[in-house]
Amino acid sequence: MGEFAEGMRTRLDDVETVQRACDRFRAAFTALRERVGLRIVGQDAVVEQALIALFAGGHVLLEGVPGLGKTLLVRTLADSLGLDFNRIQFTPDLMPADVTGTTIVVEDGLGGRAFQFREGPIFANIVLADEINRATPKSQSAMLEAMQERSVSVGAETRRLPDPFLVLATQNPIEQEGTFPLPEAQLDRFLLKITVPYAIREELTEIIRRTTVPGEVGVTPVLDADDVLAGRALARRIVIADSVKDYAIRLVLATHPEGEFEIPEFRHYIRIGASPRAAQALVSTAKVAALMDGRYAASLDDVRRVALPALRHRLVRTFEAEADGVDADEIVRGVLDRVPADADHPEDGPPAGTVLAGESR
Amino acid sequence: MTEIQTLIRSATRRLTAARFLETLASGAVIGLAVLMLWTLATKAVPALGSPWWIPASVTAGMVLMFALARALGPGRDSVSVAIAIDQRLGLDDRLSTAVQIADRDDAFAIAAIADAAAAARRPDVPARVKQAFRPVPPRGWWVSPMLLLFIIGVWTIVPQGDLFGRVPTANDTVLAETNQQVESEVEELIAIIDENEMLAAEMEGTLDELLGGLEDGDAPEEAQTPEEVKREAIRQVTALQDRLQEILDGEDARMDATLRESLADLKNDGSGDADADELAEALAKGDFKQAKQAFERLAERMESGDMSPEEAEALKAALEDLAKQLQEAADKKKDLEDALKNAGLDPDLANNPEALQQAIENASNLNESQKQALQEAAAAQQQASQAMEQMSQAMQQMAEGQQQGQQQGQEMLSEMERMQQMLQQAEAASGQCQGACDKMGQGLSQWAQNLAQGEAQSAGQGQGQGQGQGQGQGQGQGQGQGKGQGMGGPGQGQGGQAPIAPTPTGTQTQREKVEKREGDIIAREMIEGEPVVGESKARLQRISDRIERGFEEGLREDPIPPHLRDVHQHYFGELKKRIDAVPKDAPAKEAPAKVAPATPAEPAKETAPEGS
Repeated sequence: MGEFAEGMRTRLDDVETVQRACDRFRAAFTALRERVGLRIVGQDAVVEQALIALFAGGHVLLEGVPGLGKTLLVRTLADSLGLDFNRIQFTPDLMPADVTGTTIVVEDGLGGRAFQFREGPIFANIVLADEINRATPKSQSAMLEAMQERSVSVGAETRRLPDPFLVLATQNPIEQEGTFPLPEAQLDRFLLKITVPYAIREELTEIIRRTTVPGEVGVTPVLDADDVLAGRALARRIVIADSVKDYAIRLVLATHPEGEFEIPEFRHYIRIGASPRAAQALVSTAKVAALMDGRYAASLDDVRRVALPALRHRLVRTFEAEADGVDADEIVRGVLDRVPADADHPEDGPPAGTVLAGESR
Repeated sequence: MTEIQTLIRSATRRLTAARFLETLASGAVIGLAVLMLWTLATKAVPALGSPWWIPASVTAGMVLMFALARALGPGRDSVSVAIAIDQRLGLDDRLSTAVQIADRDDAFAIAAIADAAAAARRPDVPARVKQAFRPVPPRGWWVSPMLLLFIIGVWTIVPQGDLFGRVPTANDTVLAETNQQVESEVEELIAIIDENEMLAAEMEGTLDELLGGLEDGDAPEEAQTPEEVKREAIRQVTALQDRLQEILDGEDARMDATLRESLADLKNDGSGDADADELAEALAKGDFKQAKQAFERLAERMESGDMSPEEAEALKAALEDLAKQLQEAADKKKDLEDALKNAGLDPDLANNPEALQQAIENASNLNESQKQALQEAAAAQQQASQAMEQMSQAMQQMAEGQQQGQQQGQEMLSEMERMQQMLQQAEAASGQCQGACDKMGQGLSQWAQNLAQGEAQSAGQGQGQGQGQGQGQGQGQGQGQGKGQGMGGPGQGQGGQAPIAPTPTGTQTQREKVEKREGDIIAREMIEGEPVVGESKARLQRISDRIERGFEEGLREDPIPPHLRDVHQHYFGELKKRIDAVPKDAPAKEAPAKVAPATPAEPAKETAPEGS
């Protein structure tokens, strides 16, 4: 059990212990970021979003062109957390059993044979589903139960996955031949969709400096599974006021075409709006963002901060949006700029906080 | 929480002030816009006019009341104000969260409230709240002053019009000028008459009648022609002059004339006293004003007692002499005696008024007017004699040193002076009346001449029009002849261009009956109902729907190679966008009209088959 989790064993029933717990979380979060930063150059926003998802208890879809360090990020994260890590390389011939595991016949040592379940790579704390859109829908659907139920059913038996369980899937947005786009239902199961941007000049220089010399930077764990679980429990207790919840709800409803809060400018661009999971994602990640910032209550700015990665993959655009070249990010940004902080006084405008875009620039 | 509530109250007060200013600015714009409309309406329609301060006060009051009501009415609640503070000060919703979870007692809520209170306690926060919520000029505040300036400009610069009023004609302009001229003349007359109170009192009734007539003439409904206005004015001025002449020919005037004639015989032998001599000379000249002044000086000297005994003696002698002469003049009655003698009556009757009256009445050789003239002459002579006797008595009493004589003499002379001034003023006013009548009469003649010329040279109205039309329907050159009326002479005018009236035209739709006859049918096309002409979109719409369905089927059932998905989606998206951009009820583009050969009995019709 980690030091952080050890501290969290104390009952959080007075202000001082709450303050101490939050301070410890913040220190642990900062240490974790620094540890990841030993291997990952730049990509601060990506790292921050990944960590937010980790402590919010959701899965992450990383999208970016090859070579931007997606896999390295996930591996580094696993190393920093001291968690079990498995990587599944999704290919068109990948079978569901290759993900979940299968029952095999083994000799029992007494001359007899018995069926034994051999766990697939999904049985790990952190699973990297690399190039998830290259697998067939059949194999992709094998991930559905695991991601949502955190369990795997093989035959008549259902097996629990380890806790914490975090799927970080990657997909390449350019090579579409031989790929199978993730269905909307599966996309919705990802808490955040993080867009991994290109490295800027200084970052690229540092990457070359680090990777073209002998040796590899070793990363030792700073947190363990118990610490992550304790962090998640702490984040869930962060206060969120009704006005902030209402803002998150209005953001989601604003993506619903023909809805009460629809944005007229985007009426013809959104075919299907964000699901209730989007509101859950906004609130849970906003709490982590507040905790990460050393506050005991989530704010409108926290919701705004996480809105783009939480909403961008939950919108289904129309033909018109496609034809006009309006992507999901643009729609979400438009929604953020039009939904006021105070529903009763829209003249005050939207919250003034920044949006966690994914781009490091 | 106290600190938080203090901040919220501070911000609420400032938000209230800002709301008041904002509403005031918006209300002022609306109110001034209404005022501007009122101003324009007033300028266009005089009947709507009212004193400017009434609508201005009502509008200002309403705007102020509305702004106050909105500012003091239900505003923001504490949560809303706290959210505003958080947003403007960047407090990460600490205050609004604290306000909303104030009744919670769990550790996280207490920690959050404590955190918010700590943020509120920061020394710079109250100042930042004041800064962030300071009332600022509302957006567009400058519109109100601009509108106000515009309204003032319109009010002062734009001339008064009359949108629904009668369009002023050339005749109206002349009429207005005539009215002004008449008013000016009459005002001058009245001023002259009013200079003398006695004359004004005598003329009171006549002046009222004249003024009443003028005021009635101002009424638009009674607006006459300039000629009529002048004629009416001349009539009234003439009446005024008649009245003045009555005064000049009246009893007072005759008495004045008789008196002056009698006093003309007074002689001044040089008594040695300058004032007494001046008095005698003035009476002899009939200058009662000068006589009165000399008499007053004499009276003062006698009252003061500054005269030496010789001077007093000389004065007494002079006054006694004057009294004697006045008495002689009073007894003389030479004019009346001459008149009686001319009328064949006994001149001695002049000394016996009763017998004279009887003799005049019984005189069979005199007609009524001669009798009346004699009676008036007798009355005037009697009054003049009476006046001279009184004056004589007054002089005698003064010579004897009696105070009563001074007073009586002064009254007599004052009365005579007033009467003389009145008569002089009446004479001047009568002359003015004559001048005014001449002027207006001259104007009347001029007007008639101008009218004849002007109308004939104008657009062919009036007499010129009549001749022009008669000769050539709008193009003929007519010789017009205007005739002045009233005092004006005949006017001559050149006939102008007669108006060109549009030929009345109209259209009438009618269906002609056509008789079908035997013959070769060249072409025939039966069309039910109204033919649709142009491009048909029905099929295009079906294509649009099929595109959408086909696109979705293509994605689900017959997977498109992934590298072509974007191209596929873009192509069909563009196509659908273009199809949907065509309004469903838009008029169809004009297709090349296909003219079907018509049957002999039917007109040609343009058709286009559906789905082309």
